Amino acid sequence: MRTHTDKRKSTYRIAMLGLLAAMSLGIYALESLLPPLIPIPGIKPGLSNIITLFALRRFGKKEAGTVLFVRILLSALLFGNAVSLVYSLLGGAAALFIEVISDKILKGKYLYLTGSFGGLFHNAGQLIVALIIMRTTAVLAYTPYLAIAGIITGLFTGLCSHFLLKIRIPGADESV
Amino acid sequence: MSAILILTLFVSVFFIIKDRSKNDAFIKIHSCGEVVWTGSLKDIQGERVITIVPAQGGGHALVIEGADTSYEHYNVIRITPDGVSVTESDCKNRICIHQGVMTSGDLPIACLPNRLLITISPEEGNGADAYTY
Repeated sequence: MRTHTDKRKSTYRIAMLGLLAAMSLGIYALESLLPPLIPIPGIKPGLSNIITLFALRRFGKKEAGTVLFVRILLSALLFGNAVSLVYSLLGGAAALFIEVISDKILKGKYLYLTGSFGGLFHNAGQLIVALIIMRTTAVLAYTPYLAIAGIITGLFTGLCSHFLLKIRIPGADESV
Repeated sequence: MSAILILTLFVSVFFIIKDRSKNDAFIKIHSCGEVVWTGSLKDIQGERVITIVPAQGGGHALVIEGADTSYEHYNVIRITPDGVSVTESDCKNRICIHQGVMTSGDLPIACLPNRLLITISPEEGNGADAYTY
């Protein structure tokens, strides 16, 4: 039988994860409205990663995966198509995979490094999708640009998440 | 851990510098995984405008001479002796247009929503493109 605190915990968790998924979707939508910073396809800030990293640190890998998957699915339904869904899914899965490993090795410290690895692997995953869709190795010309962009944007989102994690929500965080 | 990232950055910068010194002239337009148009920058006189309509449901991409924006999805490509550029597109972010005029050594022009890729490579059959699968 579950205790009173257990119930509170799980209610808090569900509410929080729903909120994070919604925030992630909102950030994604706002970001897609921004004009492209650099005229290179595939390069964008990836601000939703802030929420993924936050969910990973605060709750765990399963929860981060759920938030990420819900966000990707909803964003593809609302703003994208089947092709953009495949790009997002593989990029997101690759990023989360390496972020979980990196966070374990770094023991939760240096979140900006974890973010950088996430950005790098996100772009690597998307490059693999591009290789499959375009069916030409010519897309590999983008590799160095995507690698640099992934590391820099990941560094930024990692730092954002680091500062976000320092904010404690009174009354809510104590119960977790 | 940070050493891996710094090394990746250095290797990337090296490859960017290496790629920029190329001097190729062979244009290839890929649409939906197929090469739909080829030509050499050296053979172009004046300007050439073509429209690529991506394949729908298992068909082939359409290649139309001149600018034709009457289709649902399209990219209008302008080729001059100075380089290749996308002048019109139905895609949302217009990155392909923002990429500007591509000459040798530049990144390929890509329009991900329309599955379009334009490359400038060494003469046909040479270089990395020979590995096209």
